[in-house]
Amino acid sequence: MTSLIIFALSVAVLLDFGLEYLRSVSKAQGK
Amino acid sequence: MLSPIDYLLWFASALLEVIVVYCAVRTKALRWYLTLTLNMLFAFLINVARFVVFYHYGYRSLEYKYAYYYSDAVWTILLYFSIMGLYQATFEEMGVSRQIRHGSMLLLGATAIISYLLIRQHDSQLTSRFVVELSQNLYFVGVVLTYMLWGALLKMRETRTRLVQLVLALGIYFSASAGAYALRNMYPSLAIAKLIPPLAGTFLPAAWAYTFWRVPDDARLAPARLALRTR
Repeated sequence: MTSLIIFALSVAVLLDFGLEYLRSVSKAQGK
Repeated sequence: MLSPIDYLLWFASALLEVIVVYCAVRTKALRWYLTLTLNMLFAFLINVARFVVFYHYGYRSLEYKYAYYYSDAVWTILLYFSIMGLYQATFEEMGVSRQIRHGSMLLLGATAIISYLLIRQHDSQLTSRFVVELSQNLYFVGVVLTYMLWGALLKMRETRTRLVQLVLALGIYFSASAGAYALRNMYPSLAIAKLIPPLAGTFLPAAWAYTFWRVPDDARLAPARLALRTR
């Protein structure tokens, strides 16, 4: 159960960080 | 047996770690990001040490397993200092370095004690179990701390592109590693769960090398979420 919670939280955080990172890199390249 | 992809990721991560150190020195980023750079240097040394053990004893040997898990624990503790370095870079103007140092030492000690309490009932192989448990817990504490730091960056309207990208890349690394550990606990034979750590371990130095190499120190960029808020 603990592993499932950690997995779900990690995936949610990974998506958040991942999308923000991609946006940041593409914006920095566009400048 | 290791596949060609495993070898490729192993050598690529070692090479990228050296490139991060080179780029940080070349772009004079050591003043702000000394702990991050030192971490990459240690990561390279850990990779070399692991390869020496692997070469002499083989992938399935007990020696390699010990070397892998002990070095992983050392690596996660070192990464923890990287997060603290990023906290210090974020709050540098507020003059709270000492409080951050004390707080981080307290949290590191608490994580070590909790890890020990969790595995205390297993008398056999106590030390090796402790090391694995400590690594797993530190990865998850790392996710929480990086997310808190990200929240602080947004709250403080931080626009230093380098700092933002370094934090985001570290967040991706920690969350992918913590997710992989959890997945391995649920499905021990799942192949993808074993592939994620080396992939994440290659991504982190690649992203940091890119940031030091391509993003100038004075570059400013509002994170997307912050830009939306200020519109």
